[in-house]
Amino acid sequence: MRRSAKFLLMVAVVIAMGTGGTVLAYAGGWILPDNKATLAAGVAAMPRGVKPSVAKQSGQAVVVWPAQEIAPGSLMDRYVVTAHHTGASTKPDIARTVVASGNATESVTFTGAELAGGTWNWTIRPKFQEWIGAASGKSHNLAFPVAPVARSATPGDSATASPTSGSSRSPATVVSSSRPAAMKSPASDGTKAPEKQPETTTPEPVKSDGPPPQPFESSSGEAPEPPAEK
Amino acid sequence: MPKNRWIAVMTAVVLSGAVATLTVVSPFADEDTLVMVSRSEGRQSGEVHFELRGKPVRNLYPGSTRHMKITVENPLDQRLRLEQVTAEVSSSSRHDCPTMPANLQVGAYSGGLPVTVHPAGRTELPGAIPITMPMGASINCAGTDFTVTIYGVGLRTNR
Repeated sequence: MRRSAKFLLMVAVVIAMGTGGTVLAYAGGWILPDNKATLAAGVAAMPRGVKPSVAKQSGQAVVVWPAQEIAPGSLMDRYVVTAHHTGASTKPDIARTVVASGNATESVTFTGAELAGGTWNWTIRPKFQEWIGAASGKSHNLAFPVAPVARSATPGDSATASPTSGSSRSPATVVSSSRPAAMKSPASDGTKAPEKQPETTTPEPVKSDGPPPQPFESSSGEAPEPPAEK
Repeated sequence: MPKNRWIAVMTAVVLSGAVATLTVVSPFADEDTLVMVSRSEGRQSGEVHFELRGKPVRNLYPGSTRHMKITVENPLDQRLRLEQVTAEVSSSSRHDCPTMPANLQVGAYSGGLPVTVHPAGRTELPGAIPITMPMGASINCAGTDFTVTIYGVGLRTNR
């Protein structure tokens, strides 16, 4: 019996050695891996907005900026355009979300009514879905005197009094104007009754009318145009 | 039957079973092939290293998909038959943009397998691994670098 046990033990050893030898033979070129097969997947960063150009046009502020990409070939889908009031009095910012047109340049118009009585500059923040980039630098300032009361003073003039009507929103027509000209004369780009404009809130036309308070409210102040978003 | 004889018989049966198992189950018995795994985790005996390389993908954004191409390098002196390629997102460069399916998803390899690589050769796989950033991914992920780990399983073959 002991012989049988010894014999079987020897067989087991031989098999184990054979198996091990086979493994070692195949393992001649084996290398235990010492590095990971890893690759990088980079996510695009949201760019900062580009400083816009602004110009007065028919008494409105036309804001223009170049379209931006989140990745090569993929344009932003929206922009947040904010008008910031500057000067002594404090007015809340006016923010607009503009849907991108897909063109090389984007633009939006702020009506003279909502800007009247203040000096403003604008910033742009690009958006892609819920992602939003940092605000651009501020544009130059544009001044909008108190509503063009001189226009509304004349009875029957309401059809042409609004400085916000009929303006062009085409980016091609928007040119960055020099600040002094734009700020000093609201009529510099207008064609309507320039002779009435220079003295800003001159009371003369108001006095000629029966009810004095109404002309100061003006049609443009009461009924601003709908937002000129794109 | 005496006790010692029973022991001897049972030992013989166990050894026979072991031999049969090695013959049938062993990867060596299957057309002279070995299972080789490129992953570094585990360090199990029998692992063989072969290189998986790829081009990093860039400019992911919500709703976009990039396709990661993979190249296999076979350092062995025998042909390598790549049977399986998988990938997973393993890390993120930003803590506030964790590696979760809502932020980044890695799909299944799209090309045909197996692919044979010649000894000491290199082959770019015909397919790719899609890397997708879902809509609604966190804004914290803007500018993040994810790490994608690729795993491959192949066989060393003479054919």
